[in-house]
Amino acid sequence: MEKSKIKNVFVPGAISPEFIANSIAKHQSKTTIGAHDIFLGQVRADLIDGQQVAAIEYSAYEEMANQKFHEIREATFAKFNLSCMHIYHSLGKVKVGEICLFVFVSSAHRKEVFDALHHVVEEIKNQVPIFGKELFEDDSYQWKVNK
Amino acid sequence: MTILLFGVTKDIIGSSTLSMPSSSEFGVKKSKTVKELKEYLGKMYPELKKLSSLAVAVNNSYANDDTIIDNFDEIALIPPVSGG
Repeated sequence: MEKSKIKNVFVPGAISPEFIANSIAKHQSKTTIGAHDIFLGQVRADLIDGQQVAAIEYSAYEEMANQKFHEIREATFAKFNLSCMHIYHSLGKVKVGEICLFVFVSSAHRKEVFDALHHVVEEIKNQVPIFGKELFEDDSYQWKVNK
Repeated sequence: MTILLFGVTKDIIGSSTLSMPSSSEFGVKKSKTVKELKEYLGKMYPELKKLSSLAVAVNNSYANDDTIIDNFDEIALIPPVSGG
């Protein structure tokens, strides 16, 4: 089990597919792992009052957000039998179709990762002080609220 | 006391931080609570009351209404979150 100090979860801009592929590749040496599960949050081109979302610009209360991510990690490790967990979230502008959240959990067996991933993503969506500004094609915007 | 503002609260208040008057101007001499702070801000900026939620963080943790706020605490307004 990984015990760690507070990490910086934030990355500037979108999370690239190459970054995600490299993260998976790095786990090939960890041969006690039998199951990975991954959540990727992608920016959706919502149509709101006739206006289409072009991108989301993320800002955060970074210090508290990293603290919250840390608490969520620790609580999840305590609750589920995981080998490791990685969380990355974008800051700044992420265009529609690009990835803004990458959660990666690994364990010996599948049940743990399915349950743990669901738990972690719900906690992130509800707890972490991150704020998405939905930017429309005409440069107007509105603040997003998680459902 | 300075309050950190995030998301839509920045737009409503028109700044990224808000300097608060000392506690005597709250109308209460004793230490103020999160509830009193929210009531004060709601009066000053009625748009805040229209938000679906408004949390107050004290030293990087979500605070309850009855949490006491000290001048040395780091206070932040947290509107509805939308990570992920």
